Amino acid sequence: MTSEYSMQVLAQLLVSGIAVGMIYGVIAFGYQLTFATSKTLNFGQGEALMLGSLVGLSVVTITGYWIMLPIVLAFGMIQGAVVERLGVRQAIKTKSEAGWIMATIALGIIFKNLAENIWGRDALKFPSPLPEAPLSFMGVNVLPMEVVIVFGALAMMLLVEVFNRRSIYGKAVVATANDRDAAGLMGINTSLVITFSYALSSMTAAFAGVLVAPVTLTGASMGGALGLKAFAVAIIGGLSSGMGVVVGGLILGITETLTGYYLSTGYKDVPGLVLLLLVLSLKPSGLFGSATIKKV
Amino acid sequence: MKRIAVLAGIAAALVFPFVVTSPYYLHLVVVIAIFSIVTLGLDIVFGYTGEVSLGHAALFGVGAYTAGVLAFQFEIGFWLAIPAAIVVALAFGALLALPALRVTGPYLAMVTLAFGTIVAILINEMTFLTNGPLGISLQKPMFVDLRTWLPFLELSRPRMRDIAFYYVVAASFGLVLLVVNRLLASRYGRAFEALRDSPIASDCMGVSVYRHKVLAFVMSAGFAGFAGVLFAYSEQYIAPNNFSFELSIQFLLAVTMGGRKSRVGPVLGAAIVVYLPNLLADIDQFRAVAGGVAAIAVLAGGWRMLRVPEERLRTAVPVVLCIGFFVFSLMLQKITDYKLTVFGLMILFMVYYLPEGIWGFVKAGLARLMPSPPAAVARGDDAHVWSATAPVVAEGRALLEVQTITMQFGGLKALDSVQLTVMPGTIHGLIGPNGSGKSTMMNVLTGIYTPTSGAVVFEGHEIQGRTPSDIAGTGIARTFQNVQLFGELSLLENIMVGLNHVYRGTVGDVALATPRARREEQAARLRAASLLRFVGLEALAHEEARNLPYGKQRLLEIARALALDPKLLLLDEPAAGLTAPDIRELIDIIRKIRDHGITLILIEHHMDVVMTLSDTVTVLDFGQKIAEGVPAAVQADPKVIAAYLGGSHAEAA
Amino acid sequence: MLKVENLVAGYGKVQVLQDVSLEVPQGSLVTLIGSNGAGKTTTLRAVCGMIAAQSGRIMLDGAEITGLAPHQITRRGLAHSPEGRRVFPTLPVADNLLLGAFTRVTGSRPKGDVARDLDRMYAMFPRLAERRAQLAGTLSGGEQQMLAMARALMLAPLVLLLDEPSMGLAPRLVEEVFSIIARLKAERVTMLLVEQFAAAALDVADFGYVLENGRVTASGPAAALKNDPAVRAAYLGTAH
Repeated sequence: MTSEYSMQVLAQLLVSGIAVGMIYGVIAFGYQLTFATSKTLNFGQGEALMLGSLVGLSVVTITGYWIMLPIVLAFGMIQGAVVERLGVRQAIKTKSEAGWIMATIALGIIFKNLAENIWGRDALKFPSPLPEAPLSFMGVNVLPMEVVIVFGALAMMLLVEVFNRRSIYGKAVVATANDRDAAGLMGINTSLVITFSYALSSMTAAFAGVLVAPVTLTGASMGGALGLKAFAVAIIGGLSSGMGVVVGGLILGITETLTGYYLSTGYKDVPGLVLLLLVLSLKPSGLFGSATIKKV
Repeated sequence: MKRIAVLAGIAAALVFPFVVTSPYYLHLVVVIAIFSIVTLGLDIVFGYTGEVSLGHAALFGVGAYTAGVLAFQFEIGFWLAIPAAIVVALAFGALLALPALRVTGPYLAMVTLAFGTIVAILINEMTFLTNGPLGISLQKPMFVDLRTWLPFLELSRPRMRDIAFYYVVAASFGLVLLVVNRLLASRYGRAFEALRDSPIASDCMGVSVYRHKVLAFVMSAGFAGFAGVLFAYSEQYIAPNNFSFELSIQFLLAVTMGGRKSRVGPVLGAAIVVYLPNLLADIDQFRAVAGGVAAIAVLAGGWRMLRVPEERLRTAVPVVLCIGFFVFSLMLQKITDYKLTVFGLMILFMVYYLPEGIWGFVKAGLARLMPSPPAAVARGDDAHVWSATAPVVAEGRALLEVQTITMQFGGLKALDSVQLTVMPGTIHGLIGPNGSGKSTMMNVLTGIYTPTSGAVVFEGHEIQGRTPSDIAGTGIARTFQNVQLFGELSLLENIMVGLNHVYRGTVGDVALATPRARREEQAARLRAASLLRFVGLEALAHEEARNLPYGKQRLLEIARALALDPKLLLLDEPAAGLTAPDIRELIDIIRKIRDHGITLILIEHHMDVVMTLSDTVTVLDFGQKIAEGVPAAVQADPKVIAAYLGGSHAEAA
Repeated sequence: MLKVENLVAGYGKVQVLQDVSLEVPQGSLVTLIGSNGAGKTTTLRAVCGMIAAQSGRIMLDGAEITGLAPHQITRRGLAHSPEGRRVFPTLPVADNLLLGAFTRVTGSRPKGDVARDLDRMYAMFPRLAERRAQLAGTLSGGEQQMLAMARALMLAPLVLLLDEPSMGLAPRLVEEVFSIIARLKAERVTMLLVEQFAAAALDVADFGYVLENGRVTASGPAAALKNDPAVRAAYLGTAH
């Protein structure tokens, strides 16, 4: 009886872990998008998610959840483009790594502060578009929203992948990621591509924000921790592998929920760092990343 | 001049508590000094090696909590807490840096950011050790603390007053300043700068980029830990939220704002950052400062617009921003709500318009007003050009054997089963059309590429797969086809980076300025000057390398490679871009190098150079060896002629 | 069609081009020869905007293109097959070719018939047709060179810059590359060719320029240059 019960608990934990992991994965996917084109990433990605979620909260009361989605996605794109223009473009030109890291952090701080002034400092409840009563599969409770999270995140990543592989603009993005100079010779405006990749990246983050908000809560301080977890995922999975972020996200999400339950909720953020250091020590390019060859 | 400034600084520090008697300002100065210790250390990582650490607040906290826990749980006082905290911080530094710096990219920033969060969580959660969110209270340190060893002795153990503690902190600050200054003026400082200018060349000079970055971070962590102890005893209360992510950003902001790669900058920045909360708490004061900044911006911008009319528009942007910021400050009613926004805007402004910081800006201005006096001329002599121990040449056995090396990039075979044997004491020419694999061969020999298959045997040991700095250590030096100098270092310093391997002294020697450290530095300086003299650049010893004309840059690269005391020297197109007289000089230099028992591999397109110098010539074409032999035979080989003329045009010649 | 006047350019403080002037008339094949480090590749990089000219003028089809970004210059009809091929390794051959026509597909250049041009490329380079679904990074050196040239041609350019198309290729492939250049010349594609194999380049070209230490030191009809004793000694008989 007890063992059956503990199996059920484990299954329950796995389900929540998967949902959380997919959120991490989709944010980490955003890191990959910009890292591919410009070797930079947004240290304020968590804040992009938070802004998306809060804007969504303001819009959702007027339009309802499903119409809110495209509005939030559009907002995310604009926000990402702003981050690139203000924080990253200059640093790419001067090849200053410290420059873009500091600038994106600064923008993140500003966004967070503005959000605090607009929406307040408290955690807010986000209305769920689906019934909040859990469905039960063989004793395991699954929130309908958790299902939406998993499929929504997968769909978002898949859509971006299809765009990159099928459309000429998507191919231009891949070409820029491959070889920026050569892409310029094709007539591709590569700095616009980089701006666009930031727009896409923030869009996925904003999407993640409105996916996760109905399950957790939303608020100005929700971003930091999520952005950080996604860092761990991006490093564990590799900054260059789409497969990596999904698997990395699941690994981290599940480890965390297990640690939270079996050890203590206070320690649930610790395995992320341990995993991250382990992966960097053993396979620095990530579990799914390929080593790059440096040229002289 | 410098000496006077130092003495004045010490005097000012001594009399300060008697001049300013307000305990508030005394405390403010103590905190500034403590923060300065962190920022001086952070500058080693952030300013010199260019890596971003977002975990220095956590390392600072680790130091503070080491002191706190020792006092709270074990009744161990200040004096033992210092070494303990430093050791703990060093250990955490190593734990972070060793994995994170294995890859280039923003990994250190990401890992340290995560570390900062975890430390905050752990301090909160490990209540049994840290007293959790309640924090730890401490008392000011005792002058002499013998509780640990002689608990039965009821010595009167007076605790320090504020002024005494001020002197402890001031002395600590002075000590750190001195040590950091020594470290950065030593071979370590040169290595940190070099690896930023050209990581590849650093590695190939035996200065491992990885090891030096780790060293920089670990040292920096030690300073942060030390400062943490001082902070714990200065505040007499520490809690987890003292060491948040924002504090890490403040440290970075301090270094950026004050000015990187200097001693003044980080201290200046620390002062600003410590004072900042006061400024942001008082709206009137904030408005006054914003107004002042706007006024300075208008003046400086206006002056610049008159001087450089073509950049008028670009200059106008920051000026308008400053004025806008002032207007923003007037509109704000409650400053505290927007504290972080102001903070973020400051960072953005620094990154954009003052990347060299306030001190960098002032220094550039001073340099224009009064040019620095010419540095003392470096004197070298002929006796110190070559290493004391001449390379031992084992007659008859190959020095280097390349065994069926293949190097494949995707579908591309840059080298295809190439064999190469280089006899000691010879000059071995390596020629072939562009893209035939010569440079790939160089990169395989020096460890930049690991070959897809095959072996490289140097002096009987296989070296393929080892790191470039390891291979450099075994005695293979090189120059680069596209010159890779340490642009911001002087000529002399460039060569001294190459001499890194002759030092036996440790970080400790440098910090304590032991006789050994001084002796070695002097010897290296003499040797470097002598090498400069050998290539005819002695007169330019203190010039920055990036200001050299192209031809001289190539000569400097050769001198730097010789500093490695190589047994095998690889020259990659040393004559490219050189004029005819330069080339004659080069030929002369190469001969002298050979006469000193150094074996050379020479890649060159100037056929006259290769043919006059080489004992053996190997010809590569499309990644394969197509001919080998004495110059005359190779020149007459129809396959070689065909390769050089391209396809069917062999007959045309 | 392409005209370079008194071009000065370089990298950072190092000035590679001191003073380069040259002209590529419509429908002709002009070659630029010179020793390593003379500035041949730098000239092409400056023409296509990859590095900024410090002074001088570059004119394409009568309009000045000095100071424009590479993608803007490409949109005006200048194609560049760069040194070292620079194909997009993680994209299939077909996508590499399609990206060559990026400006045409997206409307910043006249569209024409992209599909027909694609077929023409596959006809001209049958090896690429066999491998159209293969990732470009897995091609051999010769195939990558063919791809780079075909990709540049997909622009239907006014002028085609070819930088060292023979680099690192086996002799048989070098011949193949030159025969393709000859074919393009017969089709009256305007080309500026940079080559290390001076003899082969002068054989196929109409006109030639000799570059030394960043300056043009000789120029003339290719046949005349080929018989110029100084040029012969310096660049044609290197192996002797």
